Amino acid sequence: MSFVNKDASKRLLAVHGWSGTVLGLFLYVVVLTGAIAVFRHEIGEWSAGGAKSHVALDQPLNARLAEIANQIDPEYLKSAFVFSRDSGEIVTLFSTTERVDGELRQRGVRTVLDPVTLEEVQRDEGYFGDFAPDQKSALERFIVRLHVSLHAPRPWGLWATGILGFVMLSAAISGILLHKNMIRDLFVAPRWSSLLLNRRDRHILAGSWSLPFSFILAFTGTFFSFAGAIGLPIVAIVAFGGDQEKLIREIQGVPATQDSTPAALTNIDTVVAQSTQIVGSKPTAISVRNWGRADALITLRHPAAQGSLNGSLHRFAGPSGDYLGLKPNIGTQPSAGNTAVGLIGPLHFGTFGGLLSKIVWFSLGLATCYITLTGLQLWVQRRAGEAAWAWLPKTVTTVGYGTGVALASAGMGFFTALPFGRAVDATAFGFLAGAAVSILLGAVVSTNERLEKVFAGLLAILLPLLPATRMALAEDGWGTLLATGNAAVVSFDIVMMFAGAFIAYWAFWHKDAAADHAVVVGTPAE
Amino acid sequence: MTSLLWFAIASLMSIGACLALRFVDPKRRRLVKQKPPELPGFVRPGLWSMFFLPAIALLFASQYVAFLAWLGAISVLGWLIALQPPKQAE
Repeated sequence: MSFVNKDASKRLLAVHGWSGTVLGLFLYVVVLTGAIAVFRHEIGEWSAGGAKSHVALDQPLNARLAEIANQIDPEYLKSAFVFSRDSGEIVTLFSTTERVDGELRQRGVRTVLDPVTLEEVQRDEGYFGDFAPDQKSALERFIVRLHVSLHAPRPWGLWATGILGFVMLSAAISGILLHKNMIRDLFVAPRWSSLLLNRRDRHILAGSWSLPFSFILAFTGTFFSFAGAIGLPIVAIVAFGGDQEKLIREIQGVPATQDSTPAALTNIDTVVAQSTQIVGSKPTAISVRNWGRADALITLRHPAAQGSLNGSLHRFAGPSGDYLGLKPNIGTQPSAGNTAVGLIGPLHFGTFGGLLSKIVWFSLGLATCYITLTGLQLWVQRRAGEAAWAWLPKTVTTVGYGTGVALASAGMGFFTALPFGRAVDATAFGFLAGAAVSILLGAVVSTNERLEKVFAGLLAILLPLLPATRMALAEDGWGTLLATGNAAVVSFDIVMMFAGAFIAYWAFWHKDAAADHAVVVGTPAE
Repeated sequence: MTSLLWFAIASLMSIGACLALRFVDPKRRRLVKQKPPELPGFVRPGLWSMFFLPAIALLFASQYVAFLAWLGAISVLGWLIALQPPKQAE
């Protein structure tokens, strides 16, 4: 079955190929970091050397929070937010929102509490955007920002990744239209009658099987990039006369009636216990609006319950602690839009089914990387011998392996600098150093085949070096980590070692598939 | 029954169908100059039904977590199964 005629097919192939070639390498970086970022919390815990406590918000916090609320400027009681980091530390943010140079900014106090003793280990006051970033989560944050915005400033980075999402969507759609025998070819293994045909089969096979997820990941990713950078400002202009504060109030579902009469806040520990009983899981964040007032509202965020796709928000009256019910993510009433937006997060992050769905989503991300790289290789193969494209094969290899080398190098920078409190800078420096070395290798090594081996060797060394460095500089060994419920850290150490060993095996000892199948004669290229 | 159990049963069923479909796929066999097995007409549609049946069952049972995990896992595993080069003796 053919969806388009021959001329349209040629034009589509040109759009598919050129958009993929021009932006494919950027798309690869975004998808690879996205696949890794599926494990962001595990990476956060691993890089921090384990969480000091997993109790987090499920412990008596009321007295400590009330103490902090009494110490700070009453202006900051408009909004309070409490959550725990992957390292276990509990963070409280008391703030008010101000308009500075036309932009809304939060000003207030941030305190960091030891999760075991609840002693204050850090306090900052001022604009939240000006606070020094957390050192222990630097690696996790670096990977996520690379995925979200390629570390470009707002809104340019979000626009860039949004456009890449569109490229992925258009590639998926044009891929369907171009490949007329998609269903019939679902079980056709890559043929070896020619290298061009082999590259084509590999690209089409992976693309066909991953098609539903190419749509899902591209659509949801584009939504995240453009919703904040373009969508909300447009909605603010069109529906709220440019008043972004009003728009945010509508989205957050702030009640129209205000009552500033002083009223003591109920015991937060009782609210947490009540909410835990209602939902069946511990809350991951607590927010309090208008602390100490009669109209105070307490909202608790819970992760997805067993069998449920997304988490939930539950509201309680501040003074009485009465349960007010489920709070939609958008507005105050349940709506189709709220349901749709609520689904976008789990579908993009793959966090709805615990470790299982994370592993599946990570694999889908790697499959998408494979599609991108095989697409580029197919482009290269079709232009083999053309001088104008001679630079591309080594560039594809350099970015393909080099991104992994640079990320591993970022990890090395992080682990070596963490004890000295310079992890944020060192992570970025490590990444840039790894990228520079990769580019240099790409320029110096003579052939693409040799370059692949050099990069594979480098990755095979760097990946096991990461846990080795972490362990050499960490306080706790595997025994202590396992005893304190930090099995994720040990698992990550092992995964890194295995990944290094696997790459070494694949690059240096695995029998070349081309040699295996050179004798098989297939049909000529279509 | 937990989401994990639903997922495991659904995935095993689809992987089984996928392996069988790979074995009987006529184009795959033709490419290595093997004759496709002579099967009754209902076999391939039956295998495809077996492949997709878990999706209907999971949606019917409102097992959305298991459905999405199944869909993702099948996308990757189906690809890896099809990617394996056919052996002359297959």
